[in-house]
Amino acid sequence: MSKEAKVGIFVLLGIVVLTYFTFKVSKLGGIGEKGYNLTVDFETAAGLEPKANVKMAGVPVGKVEAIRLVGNNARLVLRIQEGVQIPIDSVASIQTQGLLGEKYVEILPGKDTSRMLPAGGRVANTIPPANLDEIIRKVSLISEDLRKFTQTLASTLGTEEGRKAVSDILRNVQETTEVLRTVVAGNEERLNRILANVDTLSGDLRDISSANKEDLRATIANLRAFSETLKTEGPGLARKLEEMSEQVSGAIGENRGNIRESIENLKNASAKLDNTLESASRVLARIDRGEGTLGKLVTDNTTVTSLNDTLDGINRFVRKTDALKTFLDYRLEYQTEPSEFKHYANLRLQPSADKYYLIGIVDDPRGKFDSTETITTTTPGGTVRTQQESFSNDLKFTAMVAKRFSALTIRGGVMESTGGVGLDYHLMKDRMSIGVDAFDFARKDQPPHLKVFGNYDIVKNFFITGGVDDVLNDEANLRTLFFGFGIKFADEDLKTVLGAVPIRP
Amino acid sequence: MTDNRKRNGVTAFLETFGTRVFRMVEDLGNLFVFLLQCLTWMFRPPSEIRNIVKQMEEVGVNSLPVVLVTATFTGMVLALQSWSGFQRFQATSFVGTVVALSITRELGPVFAGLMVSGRVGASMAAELGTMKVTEQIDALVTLATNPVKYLVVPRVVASTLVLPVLVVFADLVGVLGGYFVSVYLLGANPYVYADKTYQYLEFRDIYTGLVKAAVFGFLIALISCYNGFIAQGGAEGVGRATTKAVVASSMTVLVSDYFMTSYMF
Repeated sequence: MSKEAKVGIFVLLGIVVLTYFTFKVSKLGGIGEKGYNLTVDFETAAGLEPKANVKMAGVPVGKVEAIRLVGNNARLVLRIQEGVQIPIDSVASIQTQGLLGEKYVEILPGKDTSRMLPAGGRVANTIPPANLDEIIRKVSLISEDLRKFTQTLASTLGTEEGRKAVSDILRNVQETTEVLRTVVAGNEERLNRILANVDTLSGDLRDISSANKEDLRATIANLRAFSETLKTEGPGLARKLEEMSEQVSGAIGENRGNIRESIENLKNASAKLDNTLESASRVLARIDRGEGTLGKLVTDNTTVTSLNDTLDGINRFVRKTDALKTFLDYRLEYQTEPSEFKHYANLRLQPSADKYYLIGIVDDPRGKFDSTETITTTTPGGTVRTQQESFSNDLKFTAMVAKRFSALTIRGGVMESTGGVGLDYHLMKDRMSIGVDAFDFARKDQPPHLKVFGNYDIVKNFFITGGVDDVLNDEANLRTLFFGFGIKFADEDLKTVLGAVPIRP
Repeated sequence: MTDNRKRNGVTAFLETFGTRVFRMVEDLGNLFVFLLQCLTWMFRPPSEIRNIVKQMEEVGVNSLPVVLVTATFTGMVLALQSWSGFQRFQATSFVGTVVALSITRELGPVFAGLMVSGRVGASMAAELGTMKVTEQIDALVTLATNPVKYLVVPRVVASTLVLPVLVVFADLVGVLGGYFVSVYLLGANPYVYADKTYQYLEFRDIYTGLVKAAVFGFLIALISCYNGFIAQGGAEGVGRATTKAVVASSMTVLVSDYFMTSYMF
């Protein structure tokens, strides 16, 4: 084969394939398409794509050519195949192939087959597309119910007991029908008699009614006679009525004066009522215009506003008090060097999660410092100075403000009756904290009092503590290890405790 | 002393770097000049019909098996992969659509382009490079034959014309490969698959692919011939030219593909 032939076949085949593709493609939504367009508006065309099928009675009759937003609705342009006629009162809806398949437009043909939609017409009736999520939600609810029901059923019937009960029931039914059968069989004769009786009874009834036909006829004749009498006696009756009315008018004529007076009185009373009503309406008008205290109260908007403000204020206050938390704690620290006990009692008021105020009393074994100097004169004219230093218990006060920044709390204020600051670092979801207190900065001849400590909550209301007190002090017997424990109550606990305390002895 | 050396180092670096950049720019300029020559000679009589047909056989007919095999397997693997993805949201009926769109819009042209640049680009660069280093091209000039007219234009014209044809075949067998895998291996409904393949496919998808293919053909031939023409230094130079031709034309196919796609999107 020559080169030219090879290339020729190659190119020719290429053109054939391309032509095939072109026809295949353009047959379905390309160029030169036949048919006509319809439009239809939907609230939502969610999930629908251009080129989706349009089906009538399940048969594809066209494609969705375009989807546009018109106002708040989705306008679909449908390309309907030539020769397919759609009645003017047809209903369009967006359907889903299967549960999760692709969407298509279904046209339910209308009844009015004499009028068809023209090209460019609009399908006016639509069914809003069902929301799949909604359906799934409902179905899942139903299936849940169903599951419960079948479960109950299974637990009732599935058990040995249930099965026995059912079989009992069936047996009972069987027995009953058997009994019934024997009853019927044994009493066949009686039943026949009963039926015969019923038969004769109905026959009698018929006879009675036919026998009394005559009586009925007589009753009707009586009625007719009565109405005739009424007609003949009519004029006489009318005359009597006339006489009666004349008498009545005579009576009225005699009492005319009295009646007039009564009417006069009535008129006066109504005039007074008029006046009263008028003044009432004047008052109401004034109130309406906002005059006077009552009017102001009623019409002035500020009244409402201030009332609202007041209520708001009360609300805020109540909420705040609600948010306020109170903690009470007591702590005992044992100092090793010298072995002494230190007591703390604190009241903590916490208006919000990140802020609290603390007021407390400390019983400090080193609270009071005494130094006495005794000078003793010794015999050969010398003097010996002895200095006696001692500490004694003293009560001290603490009052601090604390602010928390995530895991860190900064405290400051009065600490053991001197100025001081402190830091706490919270660990393990606040179960544990380590901290530093620095206070008593103006101690004579001594560095500030620095205390390093750690607390750990063993349970909610009970904690242990430990650390080093007076870290900076060189004097060995003043720097001391300490450990101790404490109890604390939050206000819920307090409420419970206080509620349990009898108020009256 | 150290200061001096350091400066020398910096200077040397800048020198090397600058030379590289300059060479690249020079290369680009040469390629452009080459392109212009090629375009001018393309429209000057006499036309080299016989030569063009010969090249069409070489580029088109002889590349067909490679392209067909590549496209078939691309379509097959595409069906497999998109099936595994679409299965996760129960949309396997759209595998046909995805395969058809991917093949016609993108994978058909690109894989055909890459195959041709590997097979034909290399051979062009090697052929012309050998002619260059053995001075046959200079000989042509002495015979009053313009080498661009005689050697380059037929190749460029042939591959520009022939690549779209190759892509048409690639599209067909790619779609068929996807159909085969989906229907016979994965159990798709053949009627639904065929319907979905054509339902969303537009003629536009096909012809943009063909336009791309024509551009790829032009660029591959141009770049390969250029690299052959500038080969120097014996057999080694020819080898270098071949490598450069394949790498540059493959990269050009992919890069220009992006720009063309974004333009014709």
